[in-house]
Amino acid sequence: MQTQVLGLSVDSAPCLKAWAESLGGISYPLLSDFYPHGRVAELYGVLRPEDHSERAIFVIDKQGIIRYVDMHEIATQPDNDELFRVLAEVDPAAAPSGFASQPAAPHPSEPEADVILYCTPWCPDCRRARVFLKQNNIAYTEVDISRDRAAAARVRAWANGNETTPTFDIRGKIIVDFDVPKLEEALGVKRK
Amino acid sequence: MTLTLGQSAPDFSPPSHTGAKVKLSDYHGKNVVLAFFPLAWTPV
Repeated sequence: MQTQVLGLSVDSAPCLKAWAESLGGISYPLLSDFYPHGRVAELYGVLRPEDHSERAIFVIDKQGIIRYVDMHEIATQPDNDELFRVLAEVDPAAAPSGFASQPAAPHPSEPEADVILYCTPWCPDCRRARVFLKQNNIAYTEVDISRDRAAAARVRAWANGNETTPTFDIRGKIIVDFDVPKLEEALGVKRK
Repeated sequence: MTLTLGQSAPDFSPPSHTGAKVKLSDYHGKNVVLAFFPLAWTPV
């Protein structure tokens, strides 16, 4: 593989380690820009006044030259396909066969289910939502909006432009965020 | 300071989550995707 991914945030190394473990391990290094705080982000001009970085992607070629910069709306996930297109341009030999993306989301069209949970693998409220649905014996279909851009666009349309997770589609009724009273009402379940 | 396309990427060597230091210049000869993300554990 001729392409190395490096993740970078202002979190401390132990925090990143715990996070990586909670995600089931991660295949590339997560770098800790913790001390001096945000030094690398500042060097790259992506440190925000709130003292954490933007969501930004830099593609650096084999000679160490910056070839692509993408600053992303902080609440949205960058599009992997766009990134692969850029990599193919920067180095046709490196992409895309040697650098296979995760397979595209299995259902690009709207899933058919009574209860649809729009979530991401890392959001803590999504975890709580899964537990809540299981405890109430509710069958549901899960859609990972970090991998399904069409689904992410639907969530933005429902959530004032934010990719709020979890968002629920319960027989066509949309509930944004893990709002237990609203969910109980829509699902017809009572708190025990 | 703002970086522009075509400029050399500034080197850095912060610790990684595995404990090892990672130096950008160690990846000379490879393409690097450098992904800044705001904060771990959060949806932002």
